[in-house]
Amino acid sequence: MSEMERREFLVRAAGALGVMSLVPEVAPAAPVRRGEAMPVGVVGLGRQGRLILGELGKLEAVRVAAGCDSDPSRLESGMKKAPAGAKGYADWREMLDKSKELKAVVIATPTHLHKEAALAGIAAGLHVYCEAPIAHTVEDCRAIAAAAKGAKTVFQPGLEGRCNPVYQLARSFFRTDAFKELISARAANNQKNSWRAAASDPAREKALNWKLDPEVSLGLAGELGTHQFDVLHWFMNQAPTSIRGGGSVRVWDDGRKVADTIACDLGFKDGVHAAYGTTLGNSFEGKNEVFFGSNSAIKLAWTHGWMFKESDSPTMGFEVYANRQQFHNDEGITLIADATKLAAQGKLKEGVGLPNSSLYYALSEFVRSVVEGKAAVVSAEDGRLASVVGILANKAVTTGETVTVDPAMLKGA
Amino acid sequence: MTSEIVRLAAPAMGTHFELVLLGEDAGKLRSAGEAALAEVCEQSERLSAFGRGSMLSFINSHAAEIAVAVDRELFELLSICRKGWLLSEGAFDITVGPLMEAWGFRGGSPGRVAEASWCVGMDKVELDEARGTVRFACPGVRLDLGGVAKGWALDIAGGILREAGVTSAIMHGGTSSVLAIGPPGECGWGVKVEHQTIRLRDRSLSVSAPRGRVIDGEHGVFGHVLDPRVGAPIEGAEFACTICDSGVWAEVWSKALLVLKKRPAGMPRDVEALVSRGQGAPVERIEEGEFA
Repeated sequence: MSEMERREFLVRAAGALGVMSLVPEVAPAAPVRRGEAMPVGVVGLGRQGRLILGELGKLEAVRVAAGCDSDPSRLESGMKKAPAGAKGYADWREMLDKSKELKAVVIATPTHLHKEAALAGIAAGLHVYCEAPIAHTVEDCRAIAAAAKGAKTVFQPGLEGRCNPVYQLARSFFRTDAFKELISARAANNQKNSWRAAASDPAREKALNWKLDPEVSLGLAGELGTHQFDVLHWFMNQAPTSIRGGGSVRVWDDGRKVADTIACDLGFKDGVHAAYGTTLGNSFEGKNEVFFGSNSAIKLAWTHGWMFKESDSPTMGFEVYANRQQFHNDEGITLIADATKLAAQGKLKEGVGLPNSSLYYALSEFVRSVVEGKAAVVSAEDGRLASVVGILANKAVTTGETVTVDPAMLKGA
Repeated sequence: MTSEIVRLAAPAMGTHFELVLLGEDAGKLRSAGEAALAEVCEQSERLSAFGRGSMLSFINSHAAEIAVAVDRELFELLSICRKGWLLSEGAFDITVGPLMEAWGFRGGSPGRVAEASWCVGMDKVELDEARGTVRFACPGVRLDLGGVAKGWALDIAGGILREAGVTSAIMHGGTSSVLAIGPPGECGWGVKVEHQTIRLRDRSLSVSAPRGRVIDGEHGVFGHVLDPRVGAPIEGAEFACTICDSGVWAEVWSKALLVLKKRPAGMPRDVEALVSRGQGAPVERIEEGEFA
């Protein structure tokens, strides 16, 4: 065996060893179409709705048959992102009434408008994908989860972390000696963005800027944090017992009441704390979660993930030939989904970073559950729990008080 | 009264997009600008020929086997590209990617140019308007919207700005594609093109030049603009600039002008064309005739 062949063999063997001993294959192919593509309707064609349309366009197993938005301008621009033949409606009720062919709906309205559309979708016998947070009150979250539980159709909340191949891979490491004992965690979703939607007239402006309306908005903690709190719950297998928080308008001082910069401390049992700090004034590090373990730290950034090993942690075998990235004084081993396959093809480096957005994998899993008749990867209860924690975190931020999480509030229907 | 200036920027399409807005309400200008730049970033994700998860990559990997249904917006862009190919007599062509690769402009070692040429030509791309689908006539065909995507994104971003009530703004992608809105009551935004200031008012501008990316091969040094009709890099043209009402069409015409070295017969009269006949030569307007 030549030196080159030997190195190649070692790389493949190392990739296979690392993955086989720790994780299953984690990057599933897109769901396979069975017969006709499934007709789907999208409710809400704002930025998220348009992104959803873009990702659905890459899934052969579905066909976008309808879309709706009460704002005429958003309806017009949104339907341009839908394929030929898709029908546009100003009201989702009309869409459900007239587009009888629909088998599923994706709900991407403002959070406080999710409940009615989600319940109507479930009642109509449709499969429902509902963006997270699933609702803006504890009662509404409970009502949606209860309806989903009693339905024969698939209900999936839009918590993308659980469907993300890099996150699935990272979670499998989280449960081994490579990570060992959880010490603490932190998360952030930093961006430079005013969060204010553009509108030419005052009436539209109020409706489009619901995220800045304290009456209905869950603020940064709820609207952004919910997705990341769910990652904490999923990795740690528990919800927080208390939440402290605070926030202020540090950058966009335009009369708004919703804080543009927040900090929360989520307390878990056994003294574990997770810090959540997010600002709309600076995009440094973007959206990420970091778990500190006694043998390594895991940093996740939605399309990428890294493991930073402590120098005294045991050698697992795979790390010798793993792909690495330097972060100042730290060296991260890149977490690569589907590493076995890529290593066998000699393409391990090409696997750094997911090719698609997290949203793609979440929608893909939803469609797979429907097509294959399986339970959703993310349950309605997962959605309810994360949303309730988001609601409580927002309460901690807006009141400045420590919120004790009542276990009864976390219990399902 | 115009009293506020808002500047925004974002990385997209492998370059830098910048936006300057003038108006009375900085908050409204900013929110409109953010929405416009968000759309540019979204178009960048969708239209990338290199992003493994882009819609264009999805088309490139499936359209030789099945008719791929695309959204109305992308279908419109592909239809414009087909029309541009026809009107420019093949000088503008979004299927030129395999040739670029074969010449070594995409990294890696050069391949077989003659074989790559077989996959080039919009006649190998079937657009079904009724079904909204795209299909390739043979394997190996690939779409690359790098030549028009910036202008297209600026057109959509401009629509968002205008709808939000913005009447005075200038936006560019990588300095080679520019969109001007307004300015009202003024003679126009000043845009410097090869040491010459051009006034731009409610118009779009596109610049194409072979310099920038070059290959130094055994047959000489070549710039990255290829003539799709002959399958080889162009020679003898330094720079072409077009100005018209649409960003995407400005992109189509600047590429066609550079390749043909004359105004394409199909180019409307209201499209302004500026060229440089060689390195260091002055920029001049072209009404008719060859320029290199």
